Amino acid sequence: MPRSVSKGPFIEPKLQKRIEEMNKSAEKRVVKTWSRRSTISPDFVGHTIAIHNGMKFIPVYITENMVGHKLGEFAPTRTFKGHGGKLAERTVRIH
Amino acid sequence: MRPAHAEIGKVLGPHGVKGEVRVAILSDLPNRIESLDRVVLRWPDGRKCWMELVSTRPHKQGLLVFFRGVGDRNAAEELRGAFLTVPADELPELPKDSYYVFDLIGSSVRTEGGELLGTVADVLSAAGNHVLVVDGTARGEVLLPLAHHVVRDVDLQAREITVHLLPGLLG
Repeated sequence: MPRSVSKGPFIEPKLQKRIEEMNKSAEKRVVKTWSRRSTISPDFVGHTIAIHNGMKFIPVYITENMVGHKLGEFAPTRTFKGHGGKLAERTVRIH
Repeated sequence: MRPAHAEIGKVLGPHGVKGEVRVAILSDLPNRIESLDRVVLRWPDGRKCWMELVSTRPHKQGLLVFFRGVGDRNAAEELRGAFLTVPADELPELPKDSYYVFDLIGSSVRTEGGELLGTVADVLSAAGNHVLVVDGTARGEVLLPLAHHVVRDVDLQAREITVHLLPGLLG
């Protein structure tokens, strides 16, 4: 059963407070959080949040299309090494 | 340094009795294997040979491929474990702000102030942004998001990446 709409999305109060403070002061700093269950609200956009994956904090730059998802979706807890090694034709793009 | 060749696929094993093989796709570029006429097959033991692709078709997460001269299951079995590779000089140019991972690995990472953070050991793929794993100095492992507000400049010739360190990024 989904969360009741009347409650609104869950965001860890401590995390929300820190984001609100940064938005008020127009400050940009990386916020560490263990709260993978928190929903990304529009206030988070443009901030970098270091999300714990059980072992380390994965820095994630929050963009508009992440709004509504949970923070944990962007910090995978398992590493799939796949078939390829260091020579695989993998590409990356700077966002 | 860019390797002499890049792996674009790996033969997982034969499929059927007519010589077709299952290939896992290792390239991030779309339709990479389908667009080629021939590839270099390289085995982990060092053997290599040019092979001509006759046909390809999608199959689950990978491809089913017919190579010229491979007509039965026994011949296809010989290809198991081989990597489909292309020479480095045949790699396509990437659009702006896109890079091959093997070009970034080993690059030194410096802050805008000139402080050496280490060298790129790996690049993590996540749903949001890619993450540079920087290692090699007393500071230990540092994770940096591949985003414009952090990564200011990538100089592939000098093998150097300049980053802007946000407060809190180093832990």
